[in-house]
Amino acid sequence: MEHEPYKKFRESAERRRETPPAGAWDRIVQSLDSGQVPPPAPKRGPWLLLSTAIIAVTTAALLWWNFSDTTEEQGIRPVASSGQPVTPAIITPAPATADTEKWVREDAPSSISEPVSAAQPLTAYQNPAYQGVVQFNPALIEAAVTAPVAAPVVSPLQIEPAALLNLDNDTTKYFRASELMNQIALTSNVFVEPDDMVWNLNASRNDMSLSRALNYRTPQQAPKVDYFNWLIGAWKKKGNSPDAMVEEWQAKDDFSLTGRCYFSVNGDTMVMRSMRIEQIGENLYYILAEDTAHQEHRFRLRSYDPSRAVFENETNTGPREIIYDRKGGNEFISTGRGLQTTDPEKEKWEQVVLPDTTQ
Amino acid sequence: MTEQQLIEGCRKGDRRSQEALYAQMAPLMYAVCRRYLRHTADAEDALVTGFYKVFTHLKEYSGSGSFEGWIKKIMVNESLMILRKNNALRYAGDIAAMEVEADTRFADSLSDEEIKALVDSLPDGCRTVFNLYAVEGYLHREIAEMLNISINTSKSQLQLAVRKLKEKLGKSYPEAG
Repeated sequence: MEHEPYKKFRESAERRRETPPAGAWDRIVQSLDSGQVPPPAPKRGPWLLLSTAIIAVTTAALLWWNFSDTTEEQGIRPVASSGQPVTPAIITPAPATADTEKWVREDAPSSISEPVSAAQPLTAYQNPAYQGVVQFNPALIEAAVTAPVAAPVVSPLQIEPAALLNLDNDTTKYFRASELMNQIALTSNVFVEPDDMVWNLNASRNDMSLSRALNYRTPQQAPKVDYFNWLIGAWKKKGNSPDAMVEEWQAKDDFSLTGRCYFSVNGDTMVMRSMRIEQIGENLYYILAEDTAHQEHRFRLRSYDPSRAVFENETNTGPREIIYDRKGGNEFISTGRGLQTTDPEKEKWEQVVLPDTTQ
Repeated sequence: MTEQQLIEGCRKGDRRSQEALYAQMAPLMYAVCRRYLRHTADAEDALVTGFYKVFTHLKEYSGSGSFEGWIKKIMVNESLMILRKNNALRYAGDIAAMEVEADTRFADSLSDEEIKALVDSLPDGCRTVFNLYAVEGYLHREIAEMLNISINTSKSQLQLAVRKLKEKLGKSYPEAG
């Protein structure tokens, strides 16, 4: 019980309630309506108090001086009370209602030249409003449609918006199908366009709709552990060995995933290393614990996109970079790159369903 | 309305659900912000920005942990951001940190108000570490990451906080350990 000496402090703090300032809710509403992070409230520091006092004294003097000339119609309005929060006068108009675009499955016209790939046959959807066509890889549509509904939505910030939409002209809208659908497959059903609007995809085999909503970007967005929810489950190292190593991940809480690498030998599990992906403060870390050394190595997320994550620890004596390359829906390659590594160690993993051993 | 219904309503952007959630949680969350931020305007900023993030990031709450705890983490995070922005976190008087069990018996007879006043009187640096460790339950390695300090500084600031709390009460207890 590490924190037991502080039980009294903790319980006292948990009981505590304080009435929030009267204007706080209005500020929240205003920010939600405008889609902007709340600006800081005007501070009432000592200099501001002093200047308020000077203004008040000056106003009082002027009032006194002009008292005989002041009529009811010309009454001077009081200076805002310094005890009340100041509500900005500018009201941002409410956002336009979300719009939905319906797309209907069509045969792809021959005039569409990109980005058709022989390896990835595309299905075309047509939107009458744009007289254009969007092409999707059916396999990836399948992945998007069958993704668990409850899967947490990955923050749209991880996506490079410019890569998603290709607006050729005013009337025709093309999507870069392979990139777009990769994104959709990875992020369940959300992606963004350059002006920070969030699009939700609802797709079935024969039709789909795109609905647009306000963004939820924040200026100081920290990377989220949800980026790696796709890792949850079991992955088997590719190779010929029947006792291939298994890497297994599960969600611990909203801020961390835990994983381990192990062999199963004659029914015994031999854990080789355990890992965590953890959101600490504004950073995301890959924390590697070598079970034999009782030592943790911490790698900070240096770069991320939905297909590649690079964790780095420049001072580590072992690997300095750990890279996760996601290949499609059920494969990834992990790479450990050391200081003097000319040929980094790559391991290829494929997702597997492990037999239920609880029965 | 159950908590789940409230969350669902907020996820859909229903303003009445948002207001109900705010009314329910704001007093506790404002107390959390006030624990870290001396100035009411700063605490209000943390509360407002925190709730804005709660409402706009609600889709990211998976439901696996306590909802109140999730919001509290956001509030603590916002408060720390403001402390950092104000450059308020200074860690003076570093002492050699020792792994000893803190003796906090001096607080046993204090009321909630007395405890609050006592902790509020600490300098920002060690008060923040004390709150994160003793109240929020973070580990030293987590605090070190959150505040960008060493684990040793986190430990020593905690000890410093306890020592100052004792001094302020004018009571003398033998150091444990």
